[in-house]
Amino acid sequence: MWNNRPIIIRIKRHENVHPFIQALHAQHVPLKRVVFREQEVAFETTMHYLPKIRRVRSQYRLKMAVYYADELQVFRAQLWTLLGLAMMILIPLLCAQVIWRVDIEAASPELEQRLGKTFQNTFQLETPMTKKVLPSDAVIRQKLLEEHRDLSWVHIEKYGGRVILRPQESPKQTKQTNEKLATHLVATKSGVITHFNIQNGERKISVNDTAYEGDTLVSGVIESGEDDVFVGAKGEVYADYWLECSFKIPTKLTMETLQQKRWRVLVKGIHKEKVDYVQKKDLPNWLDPYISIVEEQYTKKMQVELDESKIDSLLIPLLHEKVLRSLPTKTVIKKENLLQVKWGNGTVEGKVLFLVNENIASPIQGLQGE
Amino acid sequence: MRKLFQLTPLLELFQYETLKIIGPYRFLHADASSCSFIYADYHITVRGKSVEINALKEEMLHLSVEDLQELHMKMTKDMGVSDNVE
Repeated sequence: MWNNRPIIIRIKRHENVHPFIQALHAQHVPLKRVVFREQEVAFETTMHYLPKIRRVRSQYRLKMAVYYADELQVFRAQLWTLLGLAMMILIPLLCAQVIWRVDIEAASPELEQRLGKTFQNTFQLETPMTKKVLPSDAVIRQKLLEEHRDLSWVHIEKYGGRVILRPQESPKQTKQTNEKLATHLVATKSGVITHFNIQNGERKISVNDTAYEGDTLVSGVIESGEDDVFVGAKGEVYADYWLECSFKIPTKLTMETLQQKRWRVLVKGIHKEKVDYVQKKDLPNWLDPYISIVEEQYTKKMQVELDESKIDSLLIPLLHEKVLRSLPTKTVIKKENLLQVKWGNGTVEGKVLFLVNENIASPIQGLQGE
Repeated sequence: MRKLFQLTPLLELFQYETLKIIGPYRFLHADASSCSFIYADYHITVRGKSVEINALKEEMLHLSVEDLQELHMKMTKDMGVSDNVE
């Protein structure tokens, strides 16, 4: 009944053709486009009648060939095609009635986690769920904002079966700087002033002047006529000074140098568990326990022996780094002079002079005796 | 609607190009230039330069004829197609 697929039947010309067609007509088989040619007779009918036609054919002993008439047709109005088409439309429609995922996209993972927990505890929803179960946007927003006072708004976006909650944090209250300003900045070391970086206060010394330890560099009190106005002193004053250091190091050194970075795939069970890596690719949750892709930093260890030829290339830079690390940040070493070196017994010792540029200002409270 | 309640024989020749009969009939013979059948006590033969059967259904026969040369009807009482079809 449903098999309406058109077919073309070709029969070899024979004296029984006419009785055959008559018999088909008697059996109520509809025929279309009956064409009589010299060698053959062709007609069109539907698949539904094929068993009937075959039965009649065997009685008349005719040679028959059956072809589909819709081979070149892309879309055939058949039961299965229509069912498939209906499924194709219905499946997305039905799937869209379900919420498959509730995602939270916040500025920080901590907030995401906290909001996720609140959402779960408040609404007790398990995905997948039908859209009817999900409370209205206003209710979700209200409950989440009630629990998280630090949020100013929660954007709720829905894409098909996915709900995205996007919390908006309220702007942070800028803390009033209640930090007490110092009255003066005084020099902690003696040196030649090179430059200033002052936020508050009045300079008491100029660039290229020599400052001695304890001198006032910046004053937080401005004299205006007879009154003193307190403005506070804040900032940095940089000065050059010479620093003498003595050193003693073994001549045999072990050094580690950085080599190139390389990506590596680690499979659990084959490679060792813990590997120091620079960065790691995020893999899907199901794959993560078995495979990890990491970028490793390769290092190379080498033994170096210090001798006189390596003073400029190795010894000075080594001392430079060591001294720089012991000094506060923003400090610059402008120049280094090797005063004396003594080689012997597997060690090298000597003295070195550094020209250091450093912030020498130190804030003090209360009035400095002038 | 006319054809749905068509109880009496109807033979429709349109512009001497297509012939349609509605009602019980008996197919007899056909080839590239002729077609014959029995319809309501008449033996009908259609001849032309070419005769094609567009549809051959239970109670409908539709022919298209190119250059109609002959449409022959002859009463054949013994056939009695209108009463019962084979």
